[in-house]
Amino acid sequence: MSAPLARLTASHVTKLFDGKTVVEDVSLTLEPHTITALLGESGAGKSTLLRLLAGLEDLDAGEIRISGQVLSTPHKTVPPERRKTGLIFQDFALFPHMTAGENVRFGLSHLPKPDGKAIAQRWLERMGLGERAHAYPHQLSGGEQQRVAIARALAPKPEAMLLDEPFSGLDPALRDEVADFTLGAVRESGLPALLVSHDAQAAMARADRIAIMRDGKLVQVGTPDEVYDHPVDAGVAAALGPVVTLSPGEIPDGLWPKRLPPGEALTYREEALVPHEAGKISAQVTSIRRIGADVRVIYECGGQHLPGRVASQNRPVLGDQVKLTLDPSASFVFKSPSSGRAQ
Amino acid sequence: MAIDIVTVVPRSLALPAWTAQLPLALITLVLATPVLAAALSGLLAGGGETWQHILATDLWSTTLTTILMLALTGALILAIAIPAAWLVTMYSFPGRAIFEWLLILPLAAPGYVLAISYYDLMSVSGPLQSAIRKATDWGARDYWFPDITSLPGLCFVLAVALYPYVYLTARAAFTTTSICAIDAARTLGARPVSVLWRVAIPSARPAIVAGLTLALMEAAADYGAAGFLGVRTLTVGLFRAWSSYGDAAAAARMALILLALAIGLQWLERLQRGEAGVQATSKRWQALERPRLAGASGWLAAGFCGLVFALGFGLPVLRLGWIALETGDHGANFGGALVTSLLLASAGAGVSFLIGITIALYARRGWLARLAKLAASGGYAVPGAVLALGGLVALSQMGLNMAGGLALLILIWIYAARFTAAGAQPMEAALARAPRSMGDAARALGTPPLQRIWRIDLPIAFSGALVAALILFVEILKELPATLMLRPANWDTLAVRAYAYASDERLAAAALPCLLITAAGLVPVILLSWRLSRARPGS
Repeated sequence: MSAPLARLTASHVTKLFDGKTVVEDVSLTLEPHTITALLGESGAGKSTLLRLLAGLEDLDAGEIRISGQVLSTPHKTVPPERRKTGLIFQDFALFPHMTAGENVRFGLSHLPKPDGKAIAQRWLERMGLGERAHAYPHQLSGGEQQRVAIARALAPKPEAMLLDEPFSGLDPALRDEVADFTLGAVRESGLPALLVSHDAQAAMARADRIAIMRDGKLVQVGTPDEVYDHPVDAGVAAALGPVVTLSPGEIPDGLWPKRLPPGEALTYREEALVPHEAGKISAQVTSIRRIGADVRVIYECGGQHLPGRVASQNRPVLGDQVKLTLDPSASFVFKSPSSGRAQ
Repeated sequence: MAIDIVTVVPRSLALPAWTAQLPLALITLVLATPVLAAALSGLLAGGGETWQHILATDLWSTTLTTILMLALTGALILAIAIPAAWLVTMYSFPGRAIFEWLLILPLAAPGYVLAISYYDLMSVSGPLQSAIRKATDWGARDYWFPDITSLPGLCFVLAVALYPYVYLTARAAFTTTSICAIDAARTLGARPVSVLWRVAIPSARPAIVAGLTLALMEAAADYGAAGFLGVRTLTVGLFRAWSSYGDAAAAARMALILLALAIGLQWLERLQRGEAGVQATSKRWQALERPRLAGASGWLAAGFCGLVFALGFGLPVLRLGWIALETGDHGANFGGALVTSLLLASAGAGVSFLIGITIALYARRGWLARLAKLAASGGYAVPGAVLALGGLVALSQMGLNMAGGLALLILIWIYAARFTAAGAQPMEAALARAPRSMGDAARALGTPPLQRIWRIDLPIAFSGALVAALILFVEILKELPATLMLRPANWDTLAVRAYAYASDERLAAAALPCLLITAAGLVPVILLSWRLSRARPGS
């Protein structure tokens, strides 16, 4: 009964601000039934890409389409009010002069008033806010406001959902609950969705695909496992969890099976370095700090301080001599980013 | 639903970028011309005969008088406002909650209204001296009584009229910026008075000085109180040079000194702010646990606050009410002056409002917007008499003569140059309540940009815009010197009429317009105190 789900595609999209390239040649497709998390440092161009997809910015090169219909080219932009994208913002952006019900009804003004009211009420009920339709935003808690924002975005039946850091404004205690709820609602709708985030752990836990941007470029796209286990460079590896990078001269003998040529570097995830009887190098435990269920351990080996991570119950004893191994599946050799300058 | 490619709006339909800047350029020109004209004519004017006369006899003494007046007024304001703000913020005592906002009310009455009332209260035949003679059987020459028509008298009147500027900023600083610092000082063993001296005042100093700067700029710009009490400050001198000697050049030179004073005050304010800035040390706000002042000290605190309120508002306003009721002398054509006031204030507020909302909408978009804003705040810092003079100079440079209709236009122009900043600021704050994401949300939900202004921005900014319009209306209603200099014949406002009657010793006739001006002034002050009591950071 419902229309087939759309697919939102950006091809070779470029955006400049005052002559500076903010988004450069980015191609990304948002598939139905798929939540894509867009990660990257602030200033990497994540929010600009989202605003281009929403039609809030004009692009300078490339093309944006939804299910084959052109939305943006360098010459023409379908304005946001005429494309069907649902937006959710970090600050919720609820209209303070309207009740929760009026906020949800805002995008339904093309319908007769009773119909709009009924649909808005149904959405609020789905969000567990059936009793709060007459409350104003300032009378709602942070989590309730976010749920009104979701209802408001989904009520007009958008073809895609765009979420701009929607959980970073929330209390940490509330964040998980609201994130599960929001993304659950998005997933249920089956709409293609883009989630801009800077919380890599949360994004990997909830998204189906991860896209990583750096300096305006898209550097890697894949499932959470793909990008975590096979990062394309040290920057991507570091974006998803704590890593240590050693130049060839810094690698203790026996830690890595073969010698690295100059210009390459070894990057390992902290959990890859663990004490093991079969280990080929010995080191002293100089520091232990708890991080959640794990502990972060600093080993000293030939004057070199190497961080590692183990589950708390496997923790070594401070001051002991231990043997260490490095798990090759969480260790990577990349071209050293500084190799060009090293001479 | 398919999206029809034909309905796509080509970007080239938008107007070229520079046309959007035109209103701003025009606004900047309109706002900056009077100040620049006054300053330039002061710098370039040759020394006329009057100028020689003023230089020989008057200039140094008026400048000195002005500086003395500012110093004494400033000291009095600090002595009144800081203890009042500290008591009301930090302690609980009888009537504290009422005094918290009663102490703002003197903002409603302009200095000349207080001066007129105090002139009557303190005169030989006034109620105070009559009571003394009745009680003692002394004759009028048998005792000393302070003379209000003197420099200290003027300073007293200006201090009780203007202290709320410092009271407000000090109170805000005491409640918000230093709670954590005060808690820390207490846990480190400091007693309350030493907390005030060692922590609260130093950390609130930037805010206190900012308030004091505003108050002193108002004092320097005052014409009505000084002129009526016969103290020859620079503003009075400027006015006399213009109206008695008809020498625009000499007036412009005095205007130049006044401008220098205003700039100097601002500069000192910036200098003292230094690296410290007005920064909250902590975002935490909590309802203060106010220690209770028991017994005599509680009543002493209430007595102090009560005295301050009585001197700044209660006593002079009651006296004016008494005079107005007692005599029933309302002067000629009171209704005409009322209508003129309403017309001029509406027109001036309307023009300032439009300019202000344009500036607010353009805020933070390019250097021209910043320039327009600078021109507006510059005009607000400059005495009305200086702006009026600048307007006249600009007009004569264009070869135009002041005549009925033109004079009205010039007057409204000067109102806008003087007061736009007072309206632009609350409007900007109101528009800031609708951040970009809200507009984006509206568009993503299908609302075109123009409809967005109508459905989102205006409803959200409405209350702020209303407050801005009200502030502009009342400020212009109270304005005296520029109106006095520029109004065409038969266009007396309430303020002009009150001042003229009072100067002719017809205090009874002056009382009713004074009361009306004060009543109008109360509206924005009450609104302000209501908003202050609702706006609590960090709650």
